[in-house]
Amino acid sequence: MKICVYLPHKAATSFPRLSKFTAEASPPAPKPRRVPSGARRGEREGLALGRAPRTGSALRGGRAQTEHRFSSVGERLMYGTVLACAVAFASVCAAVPVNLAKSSAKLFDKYGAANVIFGREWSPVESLFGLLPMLISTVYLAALTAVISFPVGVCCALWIYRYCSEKTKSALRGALSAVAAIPSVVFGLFGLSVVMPTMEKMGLNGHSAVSASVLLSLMTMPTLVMLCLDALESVKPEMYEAARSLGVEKEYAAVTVELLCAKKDIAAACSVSCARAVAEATAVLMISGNQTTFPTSPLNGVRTLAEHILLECGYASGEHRMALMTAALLLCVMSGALCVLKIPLERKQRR
Amino acid sequence: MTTARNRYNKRISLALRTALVLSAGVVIFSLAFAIFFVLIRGLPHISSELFATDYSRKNQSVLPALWNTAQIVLLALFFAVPTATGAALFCCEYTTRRWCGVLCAVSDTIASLPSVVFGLFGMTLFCVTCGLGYSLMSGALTVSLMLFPIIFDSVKRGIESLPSEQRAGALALGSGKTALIIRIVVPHCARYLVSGCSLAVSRVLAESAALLFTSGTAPGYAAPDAAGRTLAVHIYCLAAEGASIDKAYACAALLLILSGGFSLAARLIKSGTVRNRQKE
Repeated sequence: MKICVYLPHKAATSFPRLSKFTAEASPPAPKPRRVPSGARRGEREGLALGRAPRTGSALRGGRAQTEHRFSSVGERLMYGTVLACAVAFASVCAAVPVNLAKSSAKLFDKYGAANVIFGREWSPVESLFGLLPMLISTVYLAALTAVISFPVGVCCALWIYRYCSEKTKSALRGALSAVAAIPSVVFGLFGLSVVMPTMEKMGLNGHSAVSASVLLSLMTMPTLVMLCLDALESVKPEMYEAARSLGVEKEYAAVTVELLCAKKDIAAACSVSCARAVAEATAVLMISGNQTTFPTSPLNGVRTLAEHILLECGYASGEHRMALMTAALLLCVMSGALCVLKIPLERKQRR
Repeated sequence: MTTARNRYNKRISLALRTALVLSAGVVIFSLAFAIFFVLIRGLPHISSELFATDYSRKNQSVLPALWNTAQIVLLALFFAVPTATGAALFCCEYTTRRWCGVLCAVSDTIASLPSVVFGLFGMTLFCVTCGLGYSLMSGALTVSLMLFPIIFDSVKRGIESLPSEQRAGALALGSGKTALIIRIVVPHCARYLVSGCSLAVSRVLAESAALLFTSGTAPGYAAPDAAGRTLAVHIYCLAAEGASIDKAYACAALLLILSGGFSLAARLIKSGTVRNRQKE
């Protein structure tokens, strides 16, 4: 005899396997409605075959849930609240890029996109809104930072990964995550009173791209090292062990095998730290010279897009503000493109 | 393997080891130097004078900045926490995987935007279009935008880590969706939510670019509808004026300790959750 379980209608529909069960137990009950949704069918099969369901999703009920009529007021209220939250969340977040794009579209209409993005002159008084110097400076500063920080950061991550005990490793991770939370103003202050005077003592220009990139590599280092550690830890340990058992030296194996295995994820880590460098405004503002010229030498001052916005947004209005919105849009595109590379790494970690 | 090749191998690995140790040394030393420099320069200047109740030109007290910061933090959490939690619940409990993907993509996009962009957006939307002007309110609204993805992510992770047996058990006992969420899902997520909030607080404390042109730089105590500077903006202003660099360092040391502490707390709360789950 089959055990008959009392199931309210709600639970029966939201839990496909049980609905099948009740259908068997009580003959007059109608067959479960066929839903031509791939997701739901897949989930039901996943449960029926006893495969491990993906977390939470198996009982979530996919599409059936959205079609489901909520019987009581409480259910409806909850659904409404949560839906309102989600809609508010998505719409407010989507408003940011849409707003930027709208303003820049207006400016592009009047002056032409090429004249704004590739214009060489920035002079709002004469209605010249060329953003090219700032664009080039941003790329230049990011590249300079990359040259300084990538080799050091990757090597440091490799050292922590290979030479530190588990205890030290977790302590260092904690310390790095705390360092990553240090406000950029504090770094700016540090740059202003340590990096800049040091440069000037060496007879070089203190307010320059070099000092800004030294400061930026210091700021992005914790993120870079932590992400590189994640990347290295996702490499199978068998690879290293196989190399070692073939008689390869420890460091040689670490570099040639593990670093090469993790190269995609390390590239992602580097691009994310680059995105942080591109996005930084306050600290760079305090130390790079802020001239709106093309960067001719690393010892000259630069003005990146982020600084540009921060410097001028206080007194900008009308078209001037629209031009800053365009700068913000360019900045978003740059940092977004650099961050997209991170997604495969995160997906791998979740697995 | 020949001996010559072996020797070559050894020489390379010695060079590599030196490179690794050197770069690790450089990184750890320079970061530690930066932190200790700020602390050593700042901590001696933290005195009762710094915490005087009145702000004046002669003695830039930090109390008004702390008061404004606390207001912005609370307001921003007030706006961000319910919305982001609701969105995460909707994402994980109610909707299809496709809409969940859309929400996650939105949150990822927002997380990748630079903070200056938020500053500019907040200034045009809240200060100008909504007519709030330079005020703590528009600053808090701007910052709460930046907090959405942080809280959304941590709550979502919490919901995803709920064992499916608990969910099945609740449903089998005849609970509806609402009871399931209130009794099972939300209590399970509480620690994740607290950890996310802690991270969010450290983010707000550190924020300067987004607040400079939304909440303004006025010194002194401010009501939510008036302009006022937070601690980070206060440091920026002091450094830009250049007159009282010692005060700037004292505030920087304070800010360093606060924001580092909050981010460490977030980490500890989260790792505590993970350990508990493994024990179960």
